[in-house]
Amino acid sequence: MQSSGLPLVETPDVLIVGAGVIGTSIAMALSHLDVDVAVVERRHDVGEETSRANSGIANCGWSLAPGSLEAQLVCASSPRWEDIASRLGVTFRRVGLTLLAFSEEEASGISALCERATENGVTVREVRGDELAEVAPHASGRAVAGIYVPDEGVVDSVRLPVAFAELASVNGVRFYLGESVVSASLGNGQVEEVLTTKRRFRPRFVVNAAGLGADFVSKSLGGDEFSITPRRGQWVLLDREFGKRVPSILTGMPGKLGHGPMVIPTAHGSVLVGPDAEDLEDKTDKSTTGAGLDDVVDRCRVLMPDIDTKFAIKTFAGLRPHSDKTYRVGWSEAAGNLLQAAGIRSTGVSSSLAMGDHIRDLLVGAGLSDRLDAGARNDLDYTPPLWADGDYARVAKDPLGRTVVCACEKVTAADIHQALREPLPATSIGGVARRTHATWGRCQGSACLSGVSFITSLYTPGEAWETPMHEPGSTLGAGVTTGE
Amino acid sequence: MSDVVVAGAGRTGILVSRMLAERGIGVTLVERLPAPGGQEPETDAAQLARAASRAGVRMMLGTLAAEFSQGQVHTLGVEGAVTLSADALVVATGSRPQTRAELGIAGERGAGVMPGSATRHLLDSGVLLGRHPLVIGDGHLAEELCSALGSAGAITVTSVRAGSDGVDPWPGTNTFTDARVLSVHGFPRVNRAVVSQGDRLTHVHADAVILAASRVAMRNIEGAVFGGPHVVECFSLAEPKTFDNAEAAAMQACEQTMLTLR
Ligand SMILES: Cc1cc2nc3c(=O)[nH]c(=O)nc-3n(C[C@H](O)[C@H](O)[C@H](O)COP(=O)(O)OP(=O)(O)OC[C@H]3O[C@@H](n4cnc5c(N)ncnc54)[C@H](O)[C@@H]3O)c2cc1C
Repeated sequence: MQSSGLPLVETPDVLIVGAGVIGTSIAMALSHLDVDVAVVERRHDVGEETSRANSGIANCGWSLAPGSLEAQLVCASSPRWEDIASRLGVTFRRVGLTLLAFSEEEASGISALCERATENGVTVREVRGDELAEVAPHASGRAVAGIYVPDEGVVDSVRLPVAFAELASVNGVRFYLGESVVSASLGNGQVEEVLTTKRRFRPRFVVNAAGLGADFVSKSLGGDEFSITPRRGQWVLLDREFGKRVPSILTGMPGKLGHGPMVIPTAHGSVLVGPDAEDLEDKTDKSTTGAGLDDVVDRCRVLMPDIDTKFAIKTFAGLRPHSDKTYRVGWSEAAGNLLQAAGIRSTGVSSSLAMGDHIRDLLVGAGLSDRLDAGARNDLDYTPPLWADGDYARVAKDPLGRTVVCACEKVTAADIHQALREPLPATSIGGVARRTHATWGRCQGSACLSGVSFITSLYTPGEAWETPMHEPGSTLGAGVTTGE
Repeated sequence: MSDVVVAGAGRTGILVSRMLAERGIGVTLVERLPAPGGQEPETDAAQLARAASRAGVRMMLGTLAAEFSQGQVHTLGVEGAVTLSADALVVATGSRPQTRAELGIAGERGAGVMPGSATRHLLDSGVLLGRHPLVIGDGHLAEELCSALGSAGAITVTSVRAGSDGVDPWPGTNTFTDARVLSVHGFPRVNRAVVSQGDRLTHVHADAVILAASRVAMRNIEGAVFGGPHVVECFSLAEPKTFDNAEAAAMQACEQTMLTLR
């Protein structure tokens, strides 16, 4: 293998491949130990793939297969959200969920689901009539019965991996962004050297948290062979103004492909309508289709007839990493020091808190030091954006807080500068948008894109036109203007 | 005396403020930008603003009307966080071109798909959006951007217009009439757009897609985004933008405000 040319700079105790919600939560958990950790991520920022295009439901585990690792980790994560959210400055709301049955035939499945929830240690109850109307006032009047799940929550899943990575970074974890794992050399049934597009690593342990790319990474590292295929879900995002009518999550009785589309209030007050589930071949195909979006809206109107697409501000799609075995988590059989955290298809956000600890414990079990890093922090210095609390007097104390750049989402110049200076700062206009929501409102940047790009360009190399929107090559413009 | 807050000091907002003040209403005109006239300042803005001030309108420039709830308008700006009490809120926050979602453009999310309003500001600050830009829109903004892009260094400018009646292609553009953009492709930057004309599909090389189609209302005041009690909308969206259109919208909003206050 040709490892020449690339500098050997790194000998971490643990090398994590992939900085989605799973890789970053593992990095955060390890950052409390006195060990050396590095993360390699092929995109320009953390959480740019599946972890940014999900529903943000922090599931409490009520419907998962009892006893499965997925159920264990989701149930263990659920009670921890309020605490972690306040320490990391991530918005979280325990909004509750109601599952609706539209006929007595459908309702006959309710008791089995309630029993399953009890087995998972989650309290739910069957609701009918007035009680159904009370817990889900926005649900269709045609629903005859439902299951109310009070502990279901929603989290700002777009910020979540950023926050995990920032705490990890504050505690000394090194992030190598814009760098792909391409190959490795093995010796004695162990991964010895990992090659990325920019350097060589000689790690003691490797964790494969590469999401859609986990099959390729496992194979390249001499690990088990399996395949990950993309299962697309499409979304329509509705305005926060409509969110006032959506106090909690609505879903239907589960079918063969899971629950089908849902109506979901986001942590930020807007509403997601979706997703569908469609198996694709192309792992980069995040395009939306007119027919798919119409179908999602029609199916959600069954749950909530008032859904009005005049409130639609954006449509997008995400790809779930579907694997022949969901939750392929554990030591590789082929390469002894390779730990898989792959195939986490539908509940990666929900299980992320306990997943970090689970992987840490497996590594410690294999000999990683469990000595705590006495100086490690548990929280971030982070000022919540104006939209998180609408506290105008608070933000007005800072002169930059008085300048609202993005009027739709109420993002101030102070919020934007913070995003560009955080421990793991935004390095693109899209990175600023993910951290602040600037340009993400109902006008989609028509009033603020120039302002946001101007502030971003103060922090990024090159001329104003070269300011990246996201990945390298995504320049804002094509060059400089020529004079009149 | 009743108090009214008018949000937005474009031509329409200034006119409605003056009309209300002349009817004895206490009017505060709140404007996000540091000067009156709106996003694309009209030449008569300063003069109209002086007339409004003489009629008793109080101006708060560099201030955003952020939220309307329970008879109070929360503002944030150069004077800090200021709460104004208001018996009615007149929303005159101007217009913007349609978004990608509103135009129903599918495809990839590469860089280079730009709102027309931002394009103007970026051109002014020396950023050439594309060497082969495609501009969507039939109105004044689209026409102006086609010509501005041409003189700023673009090599070919494609114009995609929804209408056809009496359409003369704008000088220097490669024009599609009765057409719409179905999807855009290319990542990390856009490099192609699919244009449909009837049942004919054309793949156009484009390294920027500028969204400058029909003007819609700019809505960004929490609690008043889609109207509501004590909220009066005052948008002049007709093409072309003229003083007469603005005055007609202002007059109508003024009458409606007086009814709301009764
Ligand atoms: C439509 C939809 C709805 C969902 N709803 C929910 C929900 O409500 N609740 C919930 O809990 N979960 C939900 N999920 C699932 C959740 O999003 C995923 O389980 C989770 O994001 C998976 O995280 P990950 O870190 O494994 O993957 P990813 O976020 O994809 O991270 C993997 C990372 O690895 C990087 N990578 C890949 N290959 C390489 C390489 N060779 N070198 C370096 N880096 C590499 C990638 O760039 C990527 O950033 C949903 C998913 C979708 C698509």
